[in-house]
Amino acid sequence: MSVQKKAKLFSLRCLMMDFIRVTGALPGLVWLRPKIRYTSKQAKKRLRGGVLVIANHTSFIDPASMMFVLWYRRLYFVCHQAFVETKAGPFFHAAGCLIPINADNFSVGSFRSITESLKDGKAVTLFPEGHVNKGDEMLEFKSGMVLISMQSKRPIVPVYLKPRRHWYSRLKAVVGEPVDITALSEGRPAFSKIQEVTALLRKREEELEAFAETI
Amino acid sequence: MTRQEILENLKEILMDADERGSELVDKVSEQSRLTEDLGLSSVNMLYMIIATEEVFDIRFDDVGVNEFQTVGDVMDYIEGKLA
Repeated sequence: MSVQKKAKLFSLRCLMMDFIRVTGALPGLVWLRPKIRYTSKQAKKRLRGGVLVIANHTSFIDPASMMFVLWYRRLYFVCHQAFVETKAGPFFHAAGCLIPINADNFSVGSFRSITESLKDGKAVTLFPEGHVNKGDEMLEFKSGMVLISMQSKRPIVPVYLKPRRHWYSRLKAVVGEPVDITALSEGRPAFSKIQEVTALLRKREEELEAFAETI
Repeated sequence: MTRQEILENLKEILMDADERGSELVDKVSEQSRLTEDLGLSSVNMLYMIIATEEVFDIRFDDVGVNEFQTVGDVMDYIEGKLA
């Protein structure tokens, strides 16, 4: 794996993001009362440098939940361009929390901004199901995350967010061990190999889901 | 690099870019439509772009994957970059 860059500790742009995190921390803690579990000691280790965090997506508050799961990191979220055009979108976009993509016509530029963010040592979160899923079963994962991880040579960390039954339910989440797919970066893996890794990551999420049932 | 060589290299990339492999490549011509005829998804297309950058040692501009309708469009783009 290439040398890991550390994200900037202070910058003007980060100030706004940190303002959101700090002011939202107390009300968020009271509302969500997060209960975070880790599958192993390795999973419990603090994540340093560039890392791609993936999670299931069952609610619009999942990005906020993720901020409590990995509270010690500034998280950048890959989101649909349409979200930036909503009322709240520009605020979060200005704070630098979002990496908007056009899902209907994914651009090379969007792909590069995600991989560059990871190479710059940032923690980028994406929801590989592609959209909020209200069903009982997780949807198929999109393989783009594997291409991103492969190009940036950064690991993928799976997180499972247990669906909340009520608005006042506790946030329960399970963090899994990082999955390092650096080996895929050597040469050009066939697309079938990328799909295999995608399936493996979905299996990991299912394991985390089973773990979450015990919380 | 001739247009025929570009097509051959592109066929090799497409062979890896989809699980159907040679079955897919047999159908490929300059007129083949990437989505409709070859059934490539946006992730397949992204894979193709990354591999094309490596093989031809070029860098794509900020283009959307849908901007390439046919194999010929990709070849034109590569030719333009190699010129």
